[in-house]
Amino acid sequence: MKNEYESLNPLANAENNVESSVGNPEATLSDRDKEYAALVAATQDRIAQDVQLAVADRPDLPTLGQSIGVPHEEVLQADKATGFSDKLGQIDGEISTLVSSTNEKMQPSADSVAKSMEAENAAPSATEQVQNPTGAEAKEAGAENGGEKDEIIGQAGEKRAGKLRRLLTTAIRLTHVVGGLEMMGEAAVGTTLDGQKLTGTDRVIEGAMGAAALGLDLTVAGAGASEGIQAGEAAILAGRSTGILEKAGAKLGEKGAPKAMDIIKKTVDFMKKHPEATERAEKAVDNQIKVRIRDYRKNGPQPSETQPDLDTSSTETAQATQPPVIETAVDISNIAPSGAAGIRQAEDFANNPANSTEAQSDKPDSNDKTNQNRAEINA
Amino acid sequence: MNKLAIEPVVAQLIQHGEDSDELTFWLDIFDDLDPEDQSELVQNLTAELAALDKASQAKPSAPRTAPETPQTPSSAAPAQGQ
Repeated sequence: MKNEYESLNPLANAENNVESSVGNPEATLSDRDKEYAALVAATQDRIAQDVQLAVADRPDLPTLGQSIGVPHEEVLQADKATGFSDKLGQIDGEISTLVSSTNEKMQPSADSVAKSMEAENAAPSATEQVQNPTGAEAKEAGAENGGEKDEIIGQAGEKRAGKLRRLLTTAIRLTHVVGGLEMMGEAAVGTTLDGQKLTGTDRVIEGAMGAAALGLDLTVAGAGASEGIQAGEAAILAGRSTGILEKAGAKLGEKGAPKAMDIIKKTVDFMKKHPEATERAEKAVDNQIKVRIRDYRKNGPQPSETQPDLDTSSTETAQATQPPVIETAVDISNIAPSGAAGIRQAEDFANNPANSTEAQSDKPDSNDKTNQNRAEINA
Repeated sequence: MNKLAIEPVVAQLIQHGEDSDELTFWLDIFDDLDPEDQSELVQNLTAELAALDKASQAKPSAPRTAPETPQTPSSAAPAQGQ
């Protein structure tokens, strides 16, 4: 685990870079954007690390009991008598709220900094006005429509990214039964990078990340998620996205869909060509998933979670001429059932790996068992 | 639909500041797309280029309404007196 200094260092470096860039008249807007994006990413990493340090690394009570030789029943009784787990649950919730709130509060500042950077680059200096009035006028004219052009480029890029996302998620749905955790991961994409100034490259990778999350294999990611929730170090999607897509591409080849396979292969090549953007997107999705899992563990299933789940089988998807496209990437409420199902599946896997294939089907009896286990632990 | 037809469009978009890597990616996968998706992509790119061309041309040639140099008090005084 990183020590405090190491965890602070990337953030401090990013802050210094932004300060240097702002103070450097030679720095271009593009340089500053990159450095500012790095600062935002470093800050988000730091928040995630703080949350892990504060909450997720904490051992659970049964584990703690075992380590000091106290019988499980006594631990549970003591926990019930003191309300220890309840209090920790409250703290979990408060920290999750704090993370969300901090991210929201950062956004106006991010917008403000971006605008001031644009204004600074757009405004001609006094020297320029005197020595090169024609150049200054040209720069001013460029600045006038620069924002409009950025907007045009952004909107067109968003449409293309949406297209790629639909292509890839449709292809992924042909490869396997999509479980709850995958649905939650897929939905976490799009909420994570919102507000950041995305390049076209970022948009392609974000679209690919949605498909990768949808391709999470429960037997790997479910276990990782569950253990990681306990240890606070889960890498649910981090480091896996390209591998997941490659696996899905191979399956598509077996199913006789060479074009879809080719698109996935080229997308993976693109992600490998941009490892930093890929890593950043993976981390952002992981952080979102963890926050949502903690919210779920705190609040339990919501009323909407009693609705039929959203899982679809590969057979159903393959038979459809136009497979269902997930348009709920931004709205977590629309995937709450599958989110809950995903957590149950992950917990089921941790409780009884031998029945993990049953967990994928999200059977009521396995849910009941998991709920009983959870109730027992949290009693 | 031929990929060669959109290569000039992509080149012009890159000149306008579009992300070269992203557009190259789309060119790479163009032949793997269904005809409907190809058509949609071409429409997206050409519409973007038209909008960017319009944005580039419209603003710089717009008539300036404000004076280019500030008036000094001495030059402003006769105007007020007339």
